[in-house]
Amino acid sequence: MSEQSLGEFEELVLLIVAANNKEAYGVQILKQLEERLDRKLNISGIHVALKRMENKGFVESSYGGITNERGGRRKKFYSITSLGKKVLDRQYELRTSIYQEIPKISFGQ
Amino acid sequence: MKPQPPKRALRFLHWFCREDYLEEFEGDLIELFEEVYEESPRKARRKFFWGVVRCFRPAFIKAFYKVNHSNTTTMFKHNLLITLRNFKRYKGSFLINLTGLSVGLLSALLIYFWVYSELTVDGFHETDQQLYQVMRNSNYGQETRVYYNNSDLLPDALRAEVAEVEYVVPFVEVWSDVYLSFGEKNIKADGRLAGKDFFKVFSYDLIQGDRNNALTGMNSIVLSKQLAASLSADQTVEVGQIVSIPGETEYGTRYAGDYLVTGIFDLSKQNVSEKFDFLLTTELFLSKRSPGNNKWNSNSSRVYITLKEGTDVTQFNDKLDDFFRNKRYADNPDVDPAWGEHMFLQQYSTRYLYNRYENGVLSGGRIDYIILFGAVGLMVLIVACINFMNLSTAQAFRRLKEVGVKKVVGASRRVLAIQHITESVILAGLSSLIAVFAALLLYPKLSLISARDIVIDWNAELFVGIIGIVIITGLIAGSYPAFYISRMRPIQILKGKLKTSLSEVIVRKGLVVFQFCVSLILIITVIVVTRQIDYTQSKNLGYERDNVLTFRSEGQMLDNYETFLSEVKRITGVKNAGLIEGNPINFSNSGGGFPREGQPMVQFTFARVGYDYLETMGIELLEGRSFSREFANEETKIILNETSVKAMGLEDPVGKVYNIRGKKQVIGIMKDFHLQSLHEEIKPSFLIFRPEDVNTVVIKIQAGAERETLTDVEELYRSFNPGLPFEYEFLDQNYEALYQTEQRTASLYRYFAIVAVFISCLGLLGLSAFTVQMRLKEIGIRKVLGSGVWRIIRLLTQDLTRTVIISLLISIPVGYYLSESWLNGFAYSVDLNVSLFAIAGVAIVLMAWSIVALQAFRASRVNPVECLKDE
Repeated sequence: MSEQSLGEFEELVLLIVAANNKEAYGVQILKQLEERLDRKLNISGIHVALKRMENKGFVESSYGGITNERGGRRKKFYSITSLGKKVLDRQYELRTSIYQEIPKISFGQ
Repeated sequence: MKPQPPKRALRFLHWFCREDYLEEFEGDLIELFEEVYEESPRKARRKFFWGVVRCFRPAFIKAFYKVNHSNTTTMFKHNLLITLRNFKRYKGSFLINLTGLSVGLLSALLIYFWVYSELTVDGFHETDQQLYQVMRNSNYGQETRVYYNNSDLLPDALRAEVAEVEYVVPFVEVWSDVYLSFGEKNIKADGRLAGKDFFKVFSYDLIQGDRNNALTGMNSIVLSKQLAASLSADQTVEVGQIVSIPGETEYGTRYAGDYLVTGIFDLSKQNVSEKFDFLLTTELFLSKRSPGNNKWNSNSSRVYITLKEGTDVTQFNDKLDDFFRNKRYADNPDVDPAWGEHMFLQQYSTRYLYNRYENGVLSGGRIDYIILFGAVGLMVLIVACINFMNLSTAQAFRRLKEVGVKKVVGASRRVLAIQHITESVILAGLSSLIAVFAALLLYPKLSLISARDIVIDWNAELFVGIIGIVIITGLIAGSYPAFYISRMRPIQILKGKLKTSLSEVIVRKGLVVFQFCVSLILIITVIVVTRQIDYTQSKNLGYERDNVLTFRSEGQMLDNYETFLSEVKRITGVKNAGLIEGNPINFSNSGGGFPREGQPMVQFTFARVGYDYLETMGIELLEGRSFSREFANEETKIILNETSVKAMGLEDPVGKVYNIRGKKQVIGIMKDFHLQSLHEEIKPSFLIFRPEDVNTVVIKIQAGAERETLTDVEELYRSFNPGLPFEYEFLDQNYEALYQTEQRTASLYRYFAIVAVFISCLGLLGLSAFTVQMRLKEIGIRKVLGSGVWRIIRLLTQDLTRTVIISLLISIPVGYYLSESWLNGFAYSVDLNVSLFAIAGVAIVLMAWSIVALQAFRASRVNPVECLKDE
């Protein structure tokens, strides 16, 4: 089970990877997340999440071509695997199903 | 120009980050850095640093040690297999390497045992750092002489008056044979007399008795374990029993009486320089000595002292000397400080190794032999290592293809190095095992060839030494070839274009030259030593030393010597018999004299003799006559040797009277003969007639009838002294004892020389086999083109001839110098002539040449088809 588990931050990163399919790489993921979450993150956190998920088989990666940017270092692009997609789907289902069970309570002032 | 991220952070990232993550991380960090740099370079740097630091987490750190167990063992197994296969495949090299290294290591270990045992002599005493012997030198003329003995007034005075002294132990040698008896049995024993604190100061193993008062009573005796066991046939003498010194013997008249055994000691397991069988007390000695000896200039006792801790020895030496001179020259206080007798200390445990004084200054001693053998051992070991290295690197050429293929397939240098190190280490390890086992088996035999029992205390220090020797040898011998091989470049190897660099050739040739030099020097010196020993054995000494029997005249024989002599002469095998005082080839008395007014002093050695001494010893008379029964008053006559006549400047002295120990008439002149060893010049010496003071019988026996005659002589001896054992010596043995050190050194030396030469030969054999192997194709082509066998042999040996000649040029002067300095120790020695060096040179050239020529011959017989077909 633990191999299949997905932490909250990982889920967010995975969502970004999936949204930018095949175009996602470290800095880009960092920026999008920072934008959406409206808080500062450290690049190493993104790397930790990516490497973990890669080990679990949720994402896969490949190097892009050499450019003059980034001091000549290649970008490593991430894409979601079918297993990753399945995990995301299950997570989404789980959340929606629970969400829908919320009774219609009126939140009074 | 683009902004550069901080280098230090980058370097740190490179150092720790996993290779497969590195590029991505670096790229991301740099991208961010460049972006932020636009707004603020400082912020960018800070963020970069922080980013790097945050990446420093376990998951991203590379493995610095790649531990992969299954892989290492497989590799090790693989290496082991290859090693074993190679041993099997190249049996010759394997055996040569193994034997060479084992033999070298074995000799080194044996020498190490010997040296270690010598260096630790007497070091075991707990008081070692404080324990000293009081020495004395005297300087009356040009020469300062050092004495080990002191006045017997010294111990009490030191004890009472010198504060720094903790214990004082007088120690007196018994200068004559003593017999001990227990019940019926009479045994000759070697005794000493020692002060009461002896066992407190010296940590000798006292297995029975009390350390503190074993030597307190006047009639106490302490026996060695061996003596206690052999004194009685069926039991061991124990503490509390009574042994006695019988009164019949010469010495017995002084110490005869009953003694109570108060202790048993055992020296057999301790590394001691001096062994003795029993101890009496110096109190006894003092009570028996003649009052005339009770003076400050007498020399009867050795004196050992321990100093209180923290005493400075140099300062104490001055104090001791002042103290002594105040006593010694009490009646003459203004005596010149440079003149006369002085006292100083020598640490007890150093006496064994440093006992030679030249003109009062310590100038070595046994330590010289230890250094010599240490050097020889090191040489042998170095030669063995060189051999191993040469052979292994040479052999590596045969395996070039293996190395090349491996490298091409992707073996790293590390892997190859490990493989070859494994191989070298296994070989060196095997050799070490063989050597250590052999050394442990053989070391007891060392005692046979060294003059002393080898006692080895198996402590950690010794083991560290052994392990050190083995490991260092293994490393030196093993690692060089391994690194050498793994360094080779695969493409060149496979192309077959490998060329050894000039420096490598020089190194290898240099090593061979070095080996040869060591062997040659050893050969030269061995020849010199052997010749000198032969010379001492064969030199005409001026007397006959074969079949001359000597023994002590004591007991009843002392009083009835005339009867004994006349009866001994009646025995059929006896040619002649005479009497002399002490050792017949080492006169026991010496003294200076001014035989003629106004002439310089002459130092004489002399002996008292009875009738027939000259005749029995076969000493030739040049003029005059020997002592004879036909004349009266022989006590007032004297016989001089040639050297005395010369030294005194006499002309035609026979019949004249000179003042030599009283007025004496010269009745004869002896032809010079060698007293003492050939180390010494012939000294002026003379004989005087005092048969009643004489204690040694010399008997010349007919050659071939030794055994029967000996039995008859013994029977006669027993009829005079029924209780005493008949202990005799032959003069030639006695003579050989003078050269004991030289002979033992020579035999030890010869062994190691043989070993070194043997190892060098092995090396040469291996190397030549290799050279031939390497040039096999060349030889094949030459043969195809019509070269003859002899041409090929010459081709292959000319290189070697050059090497040998260079070695000869180096080693002859060195060998000459070393031999010369050794021979300087002899007053009479062989000449170092050209033939000697020629012999050594020719021997080694022949040896080397025959080894190489044999290989070359084999190679020249090879069918060229065999060696050319694989091209």
